[in-house]
Amino acid sequence: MKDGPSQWNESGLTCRDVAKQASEYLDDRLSMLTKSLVRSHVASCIHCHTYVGQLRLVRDVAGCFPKPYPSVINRLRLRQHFVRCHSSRAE
Amino acid sequence: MNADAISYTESIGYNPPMTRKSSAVKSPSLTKAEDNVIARLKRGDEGAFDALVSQHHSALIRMAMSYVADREVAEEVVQDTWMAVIESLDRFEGRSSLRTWICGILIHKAKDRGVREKRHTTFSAFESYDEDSDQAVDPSRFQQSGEWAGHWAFPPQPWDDQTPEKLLASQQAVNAMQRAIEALPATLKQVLILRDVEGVDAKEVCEMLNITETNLYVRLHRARERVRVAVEAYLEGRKQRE
Repeated sequence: MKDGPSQWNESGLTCRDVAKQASEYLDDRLSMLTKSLVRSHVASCIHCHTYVGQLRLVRDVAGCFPKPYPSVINRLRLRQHFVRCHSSRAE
Repeated sequence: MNADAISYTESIGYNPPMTRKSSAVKSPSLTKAEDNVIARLKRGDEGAFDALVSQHHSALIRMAMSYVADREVAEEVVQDTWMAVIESLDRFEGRSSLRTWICGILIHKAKDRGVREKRHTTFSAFESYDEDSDQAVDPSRFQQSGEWAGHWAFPPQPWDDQTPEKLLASQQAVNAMQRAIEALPATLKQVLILRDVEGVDAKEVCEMLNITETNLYVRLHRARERVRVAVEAYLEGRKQRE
């Protein structure tokens, strides 16, 4: 996958252009035309392929972080408050 | 009054006369599922409330952390938020989604607390951030002139841990990511947390933070790039140590 100006002529984009739009590309927010140009560049440029892959990894790993929950005592206090405020309607 | 202002004022329990006239016309913001949840909450259904807390607590804690540096303070802010949600439930009129409304309350309380805690807050939370001038990717990583202008000068090196599973298996790499997220300026941290960590839809993130989709993606890309650089630095340091 040797990249260079000849490959850019096909996509019309430089690596800097692709890097700038990488997040929108990953989240499918680009127009059809721009998306296909970015895809074409990424397919022919090993460095941009690596870059986009790393950004995708950051996005996906961030979504896997464990979720904090209220402590047991805080959850109990919330439940008690909810019951106090709304229990008269719970028939 | 625009949707964002309505959502914010509704969140602090303020209903100016002009909005009361339009209260009979409900915004299409709520889905049927949300309508059902709200009806159950207003009837005092504890199960519905438990489910609501389970669903949103994580996002609220993470959002609060972008205003206050201390996790313990963030827990207090979120607890106060839930109390306010319970007390204001009858005033929620569905002009925004339930999540947007709850986040509005959180942001209001977190900002107040953040100002009071300012002397204890780390620099990053109040780091000034210039949206116009800050480039997402360090410009020096690209060729500046010549035939190769715009091409990578210092390209990213492939990571050995190239799948989420492999990266997650390295606790230290994950710690490096989490530290990088914590160190983000508040405006970048919020979008990364809501969009990537919590998986909130882009349109809803824009509504919560009162920003355009263009703003959202500019900030999100900068946030992701900063975290990527932190992981890159950690992994390259690890390689050198081996």
